[in-house]
Amino acid sequence: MTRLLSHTLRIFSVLLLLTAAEHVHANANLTEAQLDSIERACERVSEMETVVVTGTRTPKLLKETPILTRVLSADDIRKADATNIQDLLQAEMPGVEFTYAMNQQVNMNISGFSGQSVLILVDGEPLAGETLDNIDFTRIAMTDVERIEIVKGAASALYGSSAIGGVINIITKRPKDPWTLHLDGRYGHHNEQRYNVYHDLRQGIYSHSIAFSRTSSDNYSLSDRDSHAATRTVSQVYGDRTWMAKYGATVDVKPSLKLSARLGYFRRTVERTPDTPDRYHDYTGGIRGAWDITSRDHMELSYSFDQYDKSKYQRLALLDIRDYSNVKNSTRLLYSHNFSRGDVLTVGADYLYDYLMSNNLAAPVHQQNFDAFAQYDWKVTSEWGIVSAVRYDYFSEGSLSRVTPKVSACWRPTPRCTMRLSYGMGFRAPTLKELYNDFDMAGIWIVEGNKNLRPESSHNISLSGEYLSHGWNFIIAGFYNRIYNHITTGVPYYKPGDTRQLYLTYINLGDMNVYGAEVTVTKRWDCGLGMKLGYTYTHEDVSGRSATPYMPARAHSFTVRTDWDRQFNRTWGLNVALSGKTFSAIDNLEYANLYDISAGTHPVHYPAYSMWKFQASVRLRQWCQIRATVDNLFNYRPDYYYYNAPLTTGTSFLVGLSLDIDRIK
Amino acid sequence: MSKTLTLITLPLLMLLVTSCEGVFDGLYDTPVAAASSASIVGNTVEGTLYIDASKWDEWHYIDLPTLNSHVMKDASYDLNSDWRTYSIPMPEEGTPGEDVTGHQRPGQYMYWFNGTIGQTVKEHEFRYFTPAAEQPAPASWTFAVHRSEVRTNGGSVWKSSLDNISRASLATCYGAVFAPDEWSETDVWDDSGQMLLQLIPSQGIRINKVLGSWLALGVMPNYVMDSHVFFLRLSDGSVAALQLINHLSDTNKRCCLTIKYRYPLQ
Repeated sequence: MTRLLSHTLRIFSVLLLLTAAEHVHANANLTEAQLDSIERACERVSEMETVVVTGTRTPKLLKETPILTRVLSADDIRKADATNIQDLLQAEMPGVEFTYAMNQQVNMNISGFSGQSVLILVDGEPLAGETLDNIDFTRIAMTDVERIEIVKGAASALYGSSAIGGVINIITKRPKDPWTLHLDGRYGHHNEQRYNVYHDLRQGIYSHSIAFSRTSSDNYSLSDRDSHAATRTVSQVYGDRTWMAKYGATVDVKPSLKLSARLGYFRRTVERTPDTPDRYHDYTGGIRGAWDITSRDHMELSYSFDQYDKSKYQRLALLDIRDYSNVKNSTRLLYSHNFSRGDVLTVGADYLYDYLMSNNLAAPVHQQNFDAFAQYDWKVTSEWGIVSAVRYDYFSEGSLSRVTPKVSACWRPTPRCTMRLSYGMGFRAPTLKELYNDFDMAGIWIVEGNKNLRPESSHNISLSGEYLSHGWNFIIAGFYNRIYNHITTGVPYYKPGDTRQLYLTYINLGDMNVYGAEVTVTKRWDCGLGMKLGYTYTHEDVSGRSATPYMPARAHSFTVRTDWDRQFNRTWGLNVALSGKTFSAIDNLEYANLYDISAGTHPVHYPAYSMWKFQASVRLRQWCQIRATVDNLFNYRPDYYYYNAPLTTGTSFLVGLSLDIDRIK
Repeated sequence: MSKTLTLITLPLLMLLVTSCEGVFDGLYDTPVAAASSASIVGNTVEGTLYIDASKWDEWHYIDLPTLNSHVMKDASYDLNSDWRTYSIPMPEEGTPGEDVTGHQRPGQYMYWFNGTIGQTVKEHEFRYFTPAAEQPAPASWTFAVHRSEVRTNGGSVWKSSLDNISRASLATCYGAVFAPDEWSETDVWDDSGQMLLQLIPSQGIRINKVLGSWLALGVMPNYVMDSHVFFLRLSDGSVAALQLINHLSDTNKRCCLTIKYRYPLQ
């Protein structure tokens, strides 16, 4: 009976996908409970029917893509109530950890790969600027994000350098309705404030979207409970103030030709010292033309500009002095042909002009990168699919060139079960910073570039199985990476004849192995209860010496999210959720004396921790939602605040209100 | 013809756009090195000078009477050219360390401090002392700066609540208690070589902690500036007003001091 009902609901929900949701609500013959149940079934199907683009660079249904792709949907983003991508990944993705380096610059670790080895894209376009090899995560506000696609493992055959550990592609919203207007605000601990406005409009051949976001939080102090920690600790957390504004417009010139353009501005201020706040600015823009040449041939030409600047505002002298600017110009041509039997050929080429100005460089530098790639998505049988890709990259610095292949096979013995096996090579060219940096770090040491760096390369194998049944979704995946010439900073040393100044030079480390496994289970019941469990195991095995003790991934991480959602009647509904993340302990060997490596290492224990969050949100009349959150529910506080401890001061509270003005009737 | 023009201009335009090296340069200020300035009111000179005091192992000496004599002759005199630099004497190689302190001898005092980047320094623990030569100085000088620390040549200092140095006069400091220099072996950090081990050697020397409070190390590595006017009574009894108005260079380097002075106060 339950199975029958479930099938019936699925059929209903597919039909529902083809009609507007409000038409269903208007049907007075259905009870609220029926509506509620149908909506949830619809949601389940729509998750499976999500179109993803990152794995193959062509649109594919999530359930059919030969490359295992994790999707954080609009619903996940809304439920997580995340402000930016760091908040979201931290809360929702198992195996993702954010650690804090000096001055609380953030470093991401995703399944054993840190920020410089994971390519982060917005609508497929690269982002400029980095600090400690990581992009500024605060610039990716969730205001206008439709979904996030995550492909773990080497993806250099499609995305080139930096995609050695995977790709995170943030897909922004596209106007679908005649118009929408969404407002939300949130207030919390440490005077944390967030205000978002999102509007889009679709009228005939024209559509546009406008997004605005403003956040702020205060600085606050931390004090260790264990004042004799064996490692260096952090005592001050810097809040920030951010402003983000974006505009995008699309014109359907012809049914087969679409032109779009976008502009964006972001600014962030951090007051590490009151009279010289740090400012971070980003200016972005782009144009794109998409042309359906025939029903089988599609072509895209795009240009993207992204400029990320850092400056210090000298309040006393009223001077805003820029000390860093990174500009990335990316031009891309992409063509795909769909063969009659379902095969897809994709070819493309990119030209990237990368410019870097910094006070830590003797003079501004630039680099040109040209690449060409081809991919064939071969539908061997109805059960088997093979995708093979190859890419050629050329970098002007050092006249470096590289060919990277990837082959993936997908087997679907039944509609419910999908097995995927993939082999790919990864590749990362040294960045301009790694080549030319000359950074005096507060007199402690000089972080020095190395013009003799060799590119980092890797072999990646991943195997996964996915099973769907009665609303259950099981994914189990394993991966292995063998990395050569990993680029990082080495151990500090004195140059001959100079025993006073330490240098920290970028080097190619010895070989490195990163392997692990991941299990994800999701289920949503018709009563409104939902559950998402995730577990990852990661192992990093590095030979060679590095001075970066806070980088390794913790071996085990668990994420849990359970929620109960109920629409009681047309007027109000409720969602309550409990989510948590647990990391295992890590014992890391750190140098006893960074100035004398011969003194050996000593173990530093970074204990396990778990953080939980409770959220309740009330929906009123389809257009209003009031949300309350208790973060760090069990009042966890680390004994000492070290680099990869959560910078929490205990339980905190957040309240928020969001309004969908366009739904007011 | 128009097709040919398009064929030529389009690639050129594409090349220009795709190799853009940035926009909105005008939103930022252009770094300009701080210039000196001086004005004369009666016998008093009010001047601004800039000293790059960022090096760890140098003291920079300023002599206000000498500066004034130059300015009196030529009001456009470059004050930035008239300070003298002396290195901090380091122990001779092989000099053994001594595990005693409290003797106030010149040399290097190695201390462990309980702070690192992102923290404030709260306490120090003595490790060892290595004797070195006395700090050399020019024959005539009024005060000297080393990063954020200051010493005077037999002078003493009082911190006022004035924000505007032009209002400083002798009347302002009547009855004020001036603080002389005092011995320090934890403030004049002169080698960052072992900072990550939280070991910093300091020069043992007399400094003026009141005047040095115009730039204090806060949460490392940041400094907190005090822009109040400080009154410096010289050893000859004359009084100068000093005000730190900036501690950053045009390229945001710390401990590059822009100092306003008014001397002698009437």
